Amino acid sequence: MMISRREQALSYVVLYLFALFAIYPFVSTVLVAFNGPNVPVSGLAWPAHWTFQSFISTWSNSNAGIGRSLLNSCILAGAVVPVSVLFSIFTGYAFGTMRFRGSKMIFGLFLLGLMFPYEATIIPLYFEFRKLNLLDTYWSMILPDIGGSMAFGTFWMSSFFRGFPRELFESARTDGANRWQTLWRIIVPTARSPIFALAVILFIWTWNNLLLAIVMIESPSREMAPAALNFFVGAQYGSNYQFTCAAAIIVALPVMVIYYVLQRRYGADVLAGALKG
Amino acid sequence: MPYWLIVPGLAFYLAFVIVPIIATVRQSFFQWDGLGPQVGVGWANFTSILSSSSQTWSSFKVSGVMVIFTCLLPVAGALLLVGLVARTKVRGLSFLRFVYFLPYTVALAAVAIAWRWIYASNGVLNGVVGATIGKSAEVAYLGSFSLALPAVGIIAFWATFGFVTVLLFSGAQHIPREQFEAARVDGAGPIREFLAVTVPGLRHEIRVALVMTFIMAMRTFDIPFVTTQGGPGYTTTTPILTMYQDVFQNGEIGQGAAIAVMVSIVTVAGVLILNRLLRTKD
Repeated sequence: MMISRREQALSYVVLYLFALFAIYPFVSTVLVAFNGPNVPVSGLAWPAHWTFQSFISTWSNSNAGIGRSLLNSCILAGAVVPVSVLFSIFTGYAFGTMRFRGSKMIFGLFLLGLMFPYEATIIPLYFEFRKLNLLDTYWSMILPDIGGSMAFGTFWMSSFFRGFPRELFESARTDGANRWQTLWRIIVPTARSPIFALAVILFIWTWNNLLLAIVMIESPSREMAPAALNFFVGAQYGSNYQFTCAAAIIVALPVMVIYYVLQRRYGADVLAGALKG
Repeated sequence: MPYWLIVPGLAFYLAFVIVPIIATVRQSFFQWDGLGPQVGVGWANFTSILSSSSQTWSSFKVSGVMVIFTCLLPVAGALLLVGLVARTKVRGLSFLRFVYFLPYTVALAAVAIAWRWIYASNGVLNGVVGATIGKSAEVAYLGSFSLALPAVGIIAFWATFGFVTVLLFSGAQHIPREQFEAARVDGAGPIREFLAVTVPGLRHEIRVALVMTFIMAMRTFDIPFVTTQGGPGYTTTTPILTMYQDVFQNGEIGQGAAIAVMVSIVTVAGVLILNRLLRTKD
């Protein structure tokens, strides 16, 4: 396609200006965090002496317990993501490939969950868990996070399974495989990339959920990572940007690494691209 | 077989989403401080949050602004970018996609911290402005009654525009090349081509993007909570933030539930309207 050189150049300028806008807050956060803890920072905050000292102080601050909070978030995601993905494969397989009585209605019920702001569930969840003495436990986050993942997981997996070629199922059936065997031998291996992408999305959502973490968890020893970040913003450290920025990097890094791995394998648009379902 | 497959997922979904939603609706008709007995008050929670003096109204106005910044502007910006990309082969597109999508992956609490520094009185923005005008600038963006809301809005824009852009980019790849060539043969300029080929070809993606970001806008909590705590005054207090404060700080559980119900109604109504307006055939 022929396009004038000037237009081409203009396109690149605009595209990379937006890229700069997207990346700059990361850059400035890193720059601040590499300043020493007691150095006054201002403006672009280019460190006169690059040092990990702010990261070390942030990490070892026993009141914030950021290392502990990373571990807690890992435990949470480690419980929520595999279970949610497995259940979503089941529901997606059922809705995507089978017709049964009530399937339309129940699927519609799941779709409803895509529209509802999740925050509308938190009040009764809090008081129910209080009654059951489950507040301030991992369960008070694991259970709602699994429940909250099901609407999207079901929608996501079913839209993939629906697009599967019929012949795949039929050849499996002629080979004498029942539906359960078909699922594990044929469907799941073929759908590896959407399953992996779903796991990453659910990981991001679970890891980043702030509201649930500050409502349900009270003990510092069970604090989740984004809530630990909120601690740093509190009165004591709020204006010490070296600490808040170092903490933000520590909390954001695991998710960014996982996203990087995902896009290396499947391309950056696998998350967004598949969302449009 | 199908029933056994859906039982575990459905059980969790019913127990931790549907039943709580119903319980929230019920709760909105009771007055409760979280400890004592619950008192049925009919519609009183709703009339009190909807009375003109109530702060809930202003929080919904904040929501309206957040819809502009989280939903409308990102989609407009993404359309501009996709218009540039759709016409030509752009080198480095996969790198751009990676960078654009990055903000969406980061916890909003961390995003808020990054922007607190940019907006700080000794921070990046004041540094750049100061260097430009040649004297020191010390605007407290997040502490200003007039600037805090747009400042929070720009954070929300930053957090969503790249995600929307990647969504539209992937849609644009599926627009048949011939349509662009046909438009050009007809003598269409870049703008005509954008309106006649790119936008119609992306109808489905635009609808999905508007719906998803509209829901995000209505749920806004993390960014104001970490940057401004809803201040100064109530200028950046969103409905969900009001709900949180009512329930977990002021012991007004019924009123918080009423706000949750209002947010849900507005969100679902908005999604249905958007879907109706932008319905695609499929």
